[in-house]
Amino acid sequence: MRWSQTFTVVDCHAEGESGKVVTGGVFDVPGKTMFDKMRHLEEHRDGLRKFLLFEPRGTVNHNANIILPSNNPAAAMGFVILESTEYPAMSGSNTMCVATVILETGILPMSEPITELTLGAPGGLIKVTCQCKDGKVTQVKFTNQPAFVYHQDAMIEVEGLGSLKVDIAYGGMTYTHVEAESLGLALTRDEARDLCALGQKIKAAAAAQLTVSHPENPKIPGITQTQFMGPLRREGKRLTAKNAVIVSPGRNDRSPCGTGTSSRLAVMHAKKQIKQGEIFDHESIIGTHFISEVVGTTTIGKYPAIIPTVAGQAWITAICQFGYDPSDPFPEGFTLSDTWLRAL
Amino acid sequence: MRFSRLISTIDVHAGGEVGRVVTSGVLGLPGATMADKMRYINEVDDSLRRFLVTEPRAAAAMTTNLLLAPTRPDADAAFLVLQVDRAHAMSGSNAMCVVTALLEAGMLPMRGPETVVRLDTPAGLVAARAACADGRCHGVSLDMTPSFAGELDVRLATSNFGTIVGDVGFGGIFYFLVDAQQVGLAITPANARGLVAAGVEILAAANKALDVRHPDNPAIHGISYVMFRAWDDGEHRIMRNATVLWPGRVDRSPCGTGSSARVAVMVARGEKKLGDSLVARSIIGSEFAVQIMGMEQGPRGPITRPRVTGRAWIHGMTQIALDPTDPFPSGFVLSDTWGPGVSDLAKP
Repeated sequence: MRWSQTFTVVDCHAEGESGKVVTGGVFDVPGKTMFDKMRHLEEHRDGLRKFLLFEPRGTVNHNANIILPSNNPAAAMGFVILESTEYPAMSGSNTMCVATVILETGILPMSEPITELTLGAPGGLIKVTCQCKDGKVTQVKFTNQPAFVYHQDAMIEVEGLGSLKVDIAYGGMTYTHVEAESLGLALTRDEARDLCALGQKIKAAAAAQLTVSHPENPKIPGITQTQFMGPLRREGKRLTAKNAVIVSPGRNDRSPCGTGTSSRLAVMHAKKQIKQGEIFDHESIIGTHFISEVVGTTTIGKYPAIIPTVAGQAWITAICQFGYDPSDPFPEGFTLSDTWLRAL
Repeated sequence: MRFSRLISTIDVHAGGEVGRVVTSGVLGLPGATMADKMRYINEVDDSLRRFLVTEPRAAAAMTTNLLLAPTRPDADAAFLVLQVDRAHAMSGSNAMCVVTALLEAGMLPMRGPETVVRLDTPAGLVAARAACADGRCHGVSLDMTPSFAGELDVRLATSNFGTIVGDVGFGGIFYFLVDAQQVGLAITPANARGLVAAGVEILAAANKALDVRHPDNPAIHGISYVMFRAWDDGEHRIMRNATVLWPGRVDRSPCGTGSSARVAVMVARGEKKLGDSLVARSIIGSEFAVQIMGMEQGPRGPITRPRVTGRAWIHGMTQIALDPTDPFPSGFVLSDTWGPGVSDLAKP
């Protein structure tokens, strides 16, 4: 056996959503900020993302994170998030996986019962509070960068559906929010496959018809996600709802989606459906939960914004070496529409 | 980090079709023969299989092979093919992955230039010849299970694809072979999803309508997969194959057992003969060489002995670990990536 490249990858999931963490094989990446490092990988080393995420090593519902030293003295460490079709500025489930891996493998010291960390995501500093017991991170709660609504109750035209009312909001990625009931969707598990093509169509229509630009960083990707929102219910003191997030090129987030929960909170807050300090329990299509709340308000450019926290748990599932044999016919992997919805 | 379970694998692919090979963490399985061990997984306790082949530990386009000690003195190693629907008796691409792992990781010695590895499988003994140089397997040739045609020109009624006419063929496991043009799709990457939709429906219909059994090996029954077939050339030397696996994805390799079944059906029809050489191409363009090495008359028609040659590459090594508090110790699947058949996972 011969490999010319070897990466050590700790495999992890946060409430069912994959978030691998590359802990060895990438020393550092040029760039002043974590966003710059992310852009360097995107522009000069995108083959690495495909190698990690495409077949045979990966699949459509995998994500990877590369932990890197941060130049920001406030951050203990930084990370660049790699997804199937983009490098997002932030990801909640991936943050949970990164925090869990760096503490449970001892890259950074774990203190029990609470470890506080600040991590540098490409989209900005993320404060993370980890509950820890007997060597296990039992909850990761992160304070996200501010989330805000770009377009509220905007109408878009979707081929095959006609006019559709959507809310466009940013929570680390930019989402097209759709009320599931307006399309007759219950967001049950059996709908998972059919939601994919529908979600891809909706986000493409939104991206073509509505403009978005992050006021502080116009290089942050535009509308790339669809979030189907189940109806809000009040259960005792907390609000709860289901969701289904369709991640490009066309598959379901297995978790309730951290950035999606953040953007949904921004929409709910704007529509006066939730007050600061109220708990929102968000349930994914596979029945896992994130607990979230609005902990403050601010503005981003001209947009009123909220500061959201999202909490969940992650579990390590494997320690892997990904290797490259120089004679391998797929140096940057491959994709196929049966599992990827469309080849990339 | 703490584990209650640790299983190590060497991750290999043959032409893009992943065959993960379990090399430690499983001492063995109950059963005197490989057929007994397959029956144990499929009928008594499939918890190990479910743990290994589902999310979050595995992906839809992947097979996990248990590497076991051989149960017969004329074999060097044994392996069992674990997929998300059940354990299967044989797989050519996975045999190539297993042989490559055995030799490149030094579990069996490489003897250049050709190393013979005899594999004990529920379908019988499969002899593999590996071309080795510089510590690598540059190719693996498999002497496939004696293959034969079953019922030909079977007419199946389907809900969405009308009447489908296909052939039953055996190449280590049973296939329902269908010309791709019947569902109006060329075997190209763009049509992968469409072929899956057709394949899962035809597979369910085939197993409802047919009761297929191996005449000599009671462990082997039922149609395992639908394989769509086409030709890439006018001389009918270059086969294009797309095997659809339950609950809904396409084999990335040209499919060793499917190629054997397809060739055996052609021999039964008098379209191919002893000594003929063909190429098998997959939906993504990977290639196997297929040669008809032997042919004899059996009680129910010709029995063909194909040799399928391909190559596999090691792309990973994994320690699968189970945290005792993981919420998915038996894993899960979801129809978006695993296919439309997930609601009926064990019953194609």
